[in-house]
Amino acid sequence: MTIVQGSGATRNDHQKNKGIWQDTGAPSAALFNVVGKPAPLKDSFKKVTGEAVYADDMKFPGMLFCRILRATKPHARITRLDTTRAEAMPGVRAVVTGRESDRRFGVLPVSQDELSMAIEKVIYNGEPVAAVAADSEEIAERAIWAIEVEYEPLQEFLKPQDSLKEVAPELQIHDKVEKKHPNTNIHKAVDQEFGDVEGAFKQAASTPGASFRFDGISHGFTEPHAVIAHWDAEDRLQLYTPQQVPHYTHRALAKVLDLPMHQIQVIRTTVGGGFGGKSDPFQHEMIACMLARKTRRPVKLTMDREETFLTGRGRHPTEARMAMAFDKDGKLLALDSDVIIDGGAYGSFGVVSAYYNGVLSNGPYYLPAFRYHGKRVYSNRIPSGAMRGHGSVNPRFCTETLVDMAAVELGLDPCELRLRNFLQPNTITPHHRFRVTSTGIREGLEEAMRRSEWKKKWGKLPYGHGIGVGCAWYISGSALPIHWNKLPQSTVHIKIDMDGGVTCHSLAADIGQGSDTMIAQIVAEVIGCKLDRVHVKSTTTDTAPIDLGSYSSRVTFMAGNAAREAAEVIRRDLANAASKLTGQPAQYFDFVDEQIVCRSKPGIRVGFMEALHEAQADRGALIASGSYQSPPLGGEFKGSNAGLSPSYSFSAFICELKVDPDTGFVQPLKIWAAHDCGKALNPLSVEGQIEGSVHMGLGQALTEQMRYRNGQMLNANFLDYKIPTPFDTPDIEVIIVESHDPEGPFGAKECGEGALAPIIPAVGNAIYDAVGVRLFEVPMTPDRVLRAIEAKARAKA
Amino acid sequence: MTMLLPRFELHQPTTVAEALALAKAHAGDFDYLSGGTDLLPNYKCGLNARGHVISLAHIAELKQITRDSIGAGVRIVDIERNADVPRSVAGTAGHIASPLLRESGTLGGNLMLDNRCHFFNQSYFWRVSLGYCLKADGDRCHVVPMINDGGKSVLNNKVCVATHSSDLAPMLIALGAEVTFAGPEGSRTLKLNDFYFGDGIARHERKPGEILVKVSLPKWAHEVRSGYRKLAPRQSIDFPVAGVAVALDLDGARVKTLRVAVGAVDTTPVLFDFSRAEQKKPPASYLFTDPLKNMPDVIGKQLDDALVEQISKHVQTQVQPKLNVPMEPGYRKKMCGVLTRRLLAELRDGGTAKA
Repeated sequence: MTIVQGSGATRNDHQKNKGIWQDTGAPSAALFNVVGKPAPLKDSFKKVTGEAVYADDMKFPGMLFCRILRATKPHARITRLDTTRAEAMPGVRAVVTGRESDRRFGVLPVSQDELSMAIEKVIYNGEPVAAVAADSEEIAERAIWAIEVEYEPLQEFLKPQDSLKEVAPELQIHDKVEKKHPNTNIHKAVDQEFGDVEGAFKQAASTPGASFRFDGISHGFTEPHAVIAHWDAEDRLQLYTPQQVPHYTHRALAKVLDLPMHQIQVIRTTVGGGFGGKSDPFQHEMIACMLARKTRRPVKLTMDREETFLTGRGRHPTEARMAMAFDKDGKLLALDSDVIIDGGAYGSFGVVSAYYNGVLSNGPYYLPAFRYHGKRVYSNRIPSGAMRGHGSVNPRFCTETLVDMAAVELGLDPCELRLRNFLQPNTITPHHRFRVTSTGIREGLEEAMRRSEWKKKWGKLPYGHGIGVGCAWYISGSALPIHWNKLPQSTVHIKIDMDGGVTCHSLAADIGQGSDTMIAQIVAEVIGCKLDRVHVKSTTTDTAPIDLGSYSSRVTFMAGNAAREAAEVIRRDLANAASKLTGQPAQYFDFVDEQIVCRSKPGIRVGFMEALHEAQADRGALIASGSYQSPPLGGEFKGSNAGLSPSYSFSAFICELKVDPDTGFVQPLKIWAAHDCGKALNPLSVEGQIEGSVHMGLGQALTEQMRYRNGQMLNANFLDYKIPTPFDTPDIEVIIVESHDPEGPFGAKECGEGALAPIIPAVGNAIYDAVGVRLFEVPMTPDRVLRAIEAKARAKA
Repeated sequence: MTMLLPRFELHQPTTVAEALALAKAHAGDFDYLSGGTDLLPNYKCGLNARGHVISLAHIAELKQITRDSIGAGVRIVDIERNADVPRSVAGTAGHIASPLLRESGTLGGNLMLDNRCHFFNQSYFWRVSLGYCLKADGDRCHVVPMINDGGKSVLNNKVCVATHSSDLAPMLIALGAEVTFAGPEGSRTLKLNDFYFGDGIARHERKPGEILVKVSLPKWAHEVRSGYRKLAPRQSIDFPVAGVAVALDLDGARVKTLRVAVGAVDTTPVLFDFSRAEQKKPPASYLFTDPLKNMPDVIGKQLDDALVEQISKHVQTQVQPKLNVPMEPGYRKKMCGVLTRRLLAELRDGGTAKA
């Protein structure tokens, strides 16, 4: 791991206040105490020793077990549903069906299209139809198969192209579809055109274009969905759930169960991986609560792996046609993009996905003209959602492939062409008005080129051995909340009592990405205490102030800023106390290593506990609140909110690999992964996020695909769904680029999602360098690679 | 659809005789269990589970390993690390499943592995959705739905095409291994190649209650050039989707003996014995592959590149993989040719091959 300073680095108010910006133009890391130093994640010891408690580990007196009966048809009318036999079985305590509630929900207010359980018809193979709570899992399992269901098949929509067609209203999967396309199964259509696209293509020296296809992929998180619901003796509903976004689940529960929000407590359990697969409010959460309401007993539901795949929310299966225009110097002139994404049975985050698949192509290069036609369709397949790198990963493969094709056509080095087009720091994109404050992509790519010896290798390696590049950017937090209101997007509370423990409350969900540690580091840095003094409580809606949760790569930026603001309040209290004790002016104190030190006379200092107790005199525990709200951003057209973010991360990856020309097998040898995360608050954790992104991206690039037969997923298990093993994963050299974002907490931006996208095109472009063929289908499986090699050989002959 | 193990009675005999007695007592309603890495996942999917499971894990006489024979109860990892077995056999063992699974899985388990198919290795829920298949609970095959019956195309309610997915079986067959069984009527020894017979359900000729005791290797197996090439989507954990094992004996540059055994492309491993000495009896009617059809003459010929190409093409042409395990059949077929070609050339040039 290397840390590189971005030259476009901007000064950060906090750093200026701390006096740590040097005249040489680079910030000094030496003055930070906690931030910027590698810290093992706070929950990692519990996780590796097995102490961490997941929902499935929890037991309550009188607890019942739930199993869900799922649809065995992709699209069918329910002609009969009889639960009598199941209800009569000994040990069965309750059975629920769609009759329990006809209230629809969904993560986005505009797509409230999910029922807790199917009513009248089922719309995908795996949709919940009924559920049982029983004394044991075994009884519950037997009971669901005693439920009698009969179906009358309806026309199935299993290919995105079928969903575009006009159909009779009774064949629509959902009543509400895109207004522009009535009587279809199109969920959302986005049509945007900015600048002179036609003109750009006319004057261009190179106009590469291609059709692309992407299979759907799933997150493959380790912990299957598992929840416990309890309608307690005080008539309050308690839901234990490994949620990335407890707040939206909280809202959806209130709606579906018809309860005021304050009568519901959502408790986030340890999340065994999320990646966007645990960020929707879920049917199984509703079902467990309904059974708890009926039985008044705690009800546990743990899914098996197949059900977890069926619950879905993975990356959309995608079909795209794209073309780009470049002038003779390799300057990007325009992008023309047409994308269809298969949303499966529900809306989920899909309206956002439909926008992101287009608008997030407005970086990392300056794009003068842009046309996008995007459609998200409903189908009778597993619902897609906001998987890691939401909406940006597949189109990024397309554009990065086209950029590479242009470089070849124009006789330019692909890295050089990219360097000519990068967005500069402190710019606003011309049409969508995305505000780029900091970017270190140039330094990142240059460093990756140096370390990989790109210039010695590109175009010069022997047949079968190649090197390729891919670049990307990503939002660092969606600037607009999903539910429009005036509340901040993140709030953090701090409480310090006489014991000296610093307790932070936040609803930002630590899903393994390390947000608890991030908050602790920021607070410890600001108030000058040791990291082990700070404890973060981020699980419970009763005590944690609302945070919109772990999606859109927003937590470090937003919750981090909120934590900083809260800690500043405590710091003022402590400074005032130190001032009172020493007679020195409060603004002259530095906070270092549990000492509050007078800046001009370092001999004058007060210990952390001494200052704390002075500050607590007559008042008791110190409490403080901080919050974050994005600044006003963006243009004024329909859909202008999509893609807005207070900051953007940037990445540049280089991949070296070998292709076996006889078998089509691709063997990555080494990845140089440069990612601009603003400031690495915790370099250890940033390195882990980037390595994890590369591993996950390589899975999509080479082996992972959700395969179907008649609408039924063929490989919903970890043997047949091919996640790369350690043996398949190459050496990854992480290059952290610090561009010091002016608004990020201590200059930080996201690093959890953006680093996934560039690896896939880097692999594709390296395959081209190795064997001279372009892959337009992802994953780039051996049979596809071999077909391309053979087709090229045939064309030559 | 939950992955709960169905209820069964577990027996843990410590001698073969004890195990045979238990088998007799529960005839028709038991399975033998060794490492459990194949049987138990199938049980969890509700696939042909029985009321009694007789564990062979505590029978010491099954766990001996010598230069000449390997006990059926020997763990895969112990074959992988053994210096006395042929390198090709140890190497093949090192490609099975994953390091962790090799700590549990045994030789006997790998040879007795149940055949695999997309329509069989699925949960109860999955099979309810699609409709059961011949191999479990059903009356039809979803992979080859129609078959030719006396010139007429009829619904396939007879032949299961599930794929035999053992790595060790083709390697041991190529080396001419024999297997010894203990049964209610005493013990018998037969060629491993003869043992495998039948469609994806039958897959071998084990008599009721018989226990695989050991696999014996002829002296020849230690002397010839041999190796194994596995095709799988990933470098670890996966079952083979094609596996080519070769045993080659050269007389100078001329072929003295050549045995190519291919796994994971048919309902049993397929042996191409180019001396035509060993063939299935009666002609392997269940196999889709016909090794003898247009088999080139190679014995006594110089093993030059042209002959290597001819042999590989023959293997590639004859194997008939089905769309029932990962990777397309056409691709797997082609790869059988590539793997054979590479392995043959490497064995010819290097004497031994890394497995």
